[in-house]
Amino acid sequence: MKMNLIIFGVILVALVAATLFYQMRTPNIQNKIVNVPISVASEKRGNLPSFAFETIDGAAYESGDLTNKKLLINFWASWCAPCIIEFPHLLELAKRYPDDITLLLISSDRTPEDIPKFTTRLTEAEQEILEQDNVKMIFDTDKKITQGIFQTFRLPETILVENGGHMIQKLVGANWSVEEVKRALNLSARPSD
Amino acid sequence: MKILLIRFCFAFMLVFMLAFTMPHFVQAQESADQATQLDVRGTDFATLPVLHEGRLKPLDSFARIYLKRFSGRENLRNISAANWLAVSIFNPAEAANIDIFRINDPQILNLMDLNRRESRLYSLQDLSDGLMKTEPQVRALLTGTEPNQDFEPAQQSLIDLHENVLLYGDLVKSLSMILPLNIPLPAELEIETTYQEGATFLELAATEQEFMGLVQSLLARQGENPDNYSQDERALAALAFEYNVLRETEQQNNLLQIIPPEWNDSRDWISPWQSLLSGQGGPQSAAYLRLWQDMAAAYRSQDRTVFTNHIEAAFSALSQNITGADGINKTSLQLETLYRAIKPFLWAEYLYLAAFILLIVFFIRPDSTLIYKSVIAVASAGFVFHSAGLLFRSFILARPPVGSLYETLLFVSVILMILAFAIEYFRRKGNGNGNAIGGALLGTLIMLLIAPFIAPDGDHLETLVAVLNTNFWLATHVTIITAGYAICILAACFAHIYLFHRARGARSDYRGLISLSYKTALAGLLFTSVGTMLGGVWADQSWGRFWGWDPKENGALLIVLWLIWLTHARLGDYFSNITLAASIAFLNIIVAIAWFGVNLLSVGLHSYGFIDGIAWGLGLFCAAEIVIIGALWLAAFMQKRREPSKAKDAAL
Repeated sequence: MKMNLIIFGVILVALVAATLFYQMRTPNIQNKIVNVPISVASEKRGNLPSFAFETIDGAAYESGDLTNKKLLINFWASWCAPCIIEFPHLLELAKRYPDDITLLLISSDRTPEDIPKFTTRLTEAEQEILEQDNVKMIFDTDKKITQGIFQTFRLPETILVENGGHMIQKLVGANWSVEEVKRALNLSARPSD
Repeated sequence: MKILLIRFCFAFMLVFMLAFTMPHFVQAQESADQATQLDVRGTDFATLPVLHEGRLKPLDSFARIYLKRFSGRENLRNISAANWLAVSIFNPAEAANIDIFRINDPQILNLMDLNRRESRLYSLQDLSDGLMKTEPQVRALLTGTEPNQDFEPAQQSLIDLHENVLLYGDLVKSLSMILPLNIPLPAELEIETTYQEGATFLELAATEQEFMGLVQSLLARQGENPDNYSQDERALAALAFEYNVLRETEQQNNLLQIIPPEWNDSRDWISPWQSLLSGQGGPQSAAYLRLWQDMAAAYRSQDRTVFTNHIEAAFSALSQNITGADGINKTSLQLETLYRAIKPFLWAEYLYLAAFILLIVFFIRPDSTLIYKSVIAVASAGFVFHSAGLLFRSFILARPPVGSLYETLLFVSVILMILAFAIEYFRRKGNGNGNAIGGALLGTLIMLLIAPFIAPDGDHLETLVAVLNTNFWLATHVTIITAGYAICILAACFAHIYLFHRARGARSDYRGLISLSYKTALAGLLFTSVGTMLGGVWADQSWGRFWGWDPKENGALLIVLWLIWLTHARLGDYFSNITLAASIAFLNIIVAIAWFGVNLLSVGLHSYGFIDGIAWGLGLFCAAEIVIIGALWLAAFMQKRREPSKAKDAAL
């Protein structure tokens, strides 16, 4: 009987030891999901990949050149109806925050000529915004950036990038609001609001 | 049912595509005869992670699960599961010729005009005509039936076969965006292609506007009748058809979830098609998919060195560059592959069986210490495999191995063996009488033999339901209560042996067995009471109440009450040794009901371990135990009644 008690004691000690071992070794999955702070969630995203591009005006850039501001990368095409619906919202953001935001418009049109065909139909005010320094328009030859680098196969998509090139969110489709983007990018309200 | 029906509509499409590209299959088969496939054994391909059933597991496990589903075996005679998966996802045309679909039912063979084979396995190519022929029949079966309606066995087999083919269709098309479409490129479409066989979906997607523009002008020029087309125009139409089918149907293909999530906070990995077509892709998933693309190219060109390098690059990307892949543990993936290869519980079963046979020899020749030591040695070897298997599972799943009924069987049996070894050692200082090890071997063997029936779809190393996914309580309440089950079963085994010997005329205190059985039962009482109370504390934390008369709680209470009842009977001297032994032996039934019975009811908060079809098994076990215990008790009782009369005779 004494020996049996010793055996049972050993088993109990082993169980307690195993419990402590598992407690230390395994994070509590449920808590981890529920309590992810926004800053940590942001850190989970990757950094903006490095790629070179040329705007339709002929200026050449590296993606790293744009990371001194917050960046909105929009994948669009003139034949894509939802893209046209969200276009004014993007321009509105570029107009309100010229010092904080760079708007990178990457077109998947069939030819570069399709872009001016579309932009000339915009209002004068919208065309002026397109002329701003913080708006860059690209024709993506063979969709090397859109599909090859960002794996965007359904238009439109918009990627929000923090200062320093940290990608924080992807907006799929045109169903988003200016307020949502302002919140995500921590953009302060302006007097013009 | 509706989803099944929708999926069915695509079955026809799959078969159509199969028939459409059949000449290419034949061509591929001919070339396969000349050169063998790249053997992925020895590379880390089988260890690459895939999310399946809520858990990241190595591709090897994934391959075994699906190969077993299709063929009934984890490995085919001439091809391993990992090699089968590799050929299926990298070279589907060749995979269509591998015999993987098991058909046992002669009626199905007749329906599909197939001859019976000894292996009972058929390839997708063998089945293509029969699938098309039986498709209306299956569609009719699924249309207009009530949900959960029972089909005739042959009808169910036919539906299962079609479902398996659908699933296999998803599997072979998992990476079809990076594989050549096997349709020659029309001259007017200028695309730089990776493969000589033709362009891939991704290559076509980059020029989709031009490509579709050509198709539209073809339709405008020649109309929709393919008879009016030139060979080049037919190729263009076929290419457009296949491209659109892939684009429209594969968005739902989420079988092979090998891409870490890039944008969402959940831990759900995504399939390559999801990363492309559901907006979940990004720069990291694009880079990771490119590695798979290079892997596929190396596999198809049978360049083992490049193939291995790309697998290493994939692991390196997962551990360094891809943020959504945190938590990847290559050692754990390798361990799982090893666990699948070794099959430790099967070895444990063989060795325990050998030990049990040796033990019978020992009982026939009880004086031979050599046989006794052999029993202990062989049982110890079995125990090494058995406990190693449990350690493997704990490490792989990062939790105590008591999360499902299947696991509790493995755990309870290992506790049984530990107790038996300890009792054997301490009772006779290393020269025991074999009763403890005999009882434990019997119990363990029964449990290991039952285990596969508890997990009829195979051992998937499944994840736990949320309520169980707290390691602290799993390691305390569940381990203690299951250890309590083990101790009770051991006590019952001793009681059976005691009754058996008494029935054969042994003395009342035969080898101290009744005392051993009673003391073991007391230890069982300690563990089951503590375990039940801890369960109450857990229930209080999880469900907000200590006790709710849930079936599982009642089962645990039943064991405790039974043990308290027989302890009182023993202390009050109400029971003879034979009746005490019979009541302890009855613990087997009580434990079985508490352990499995709740799953028969399918009600209550503990019904997460519900399994169909164990009602008969449990009923049979209980009935057999009642008969055995009753017979042994009666025989022992009759024997006892004869004894005093003998003594009386002697006295006279």
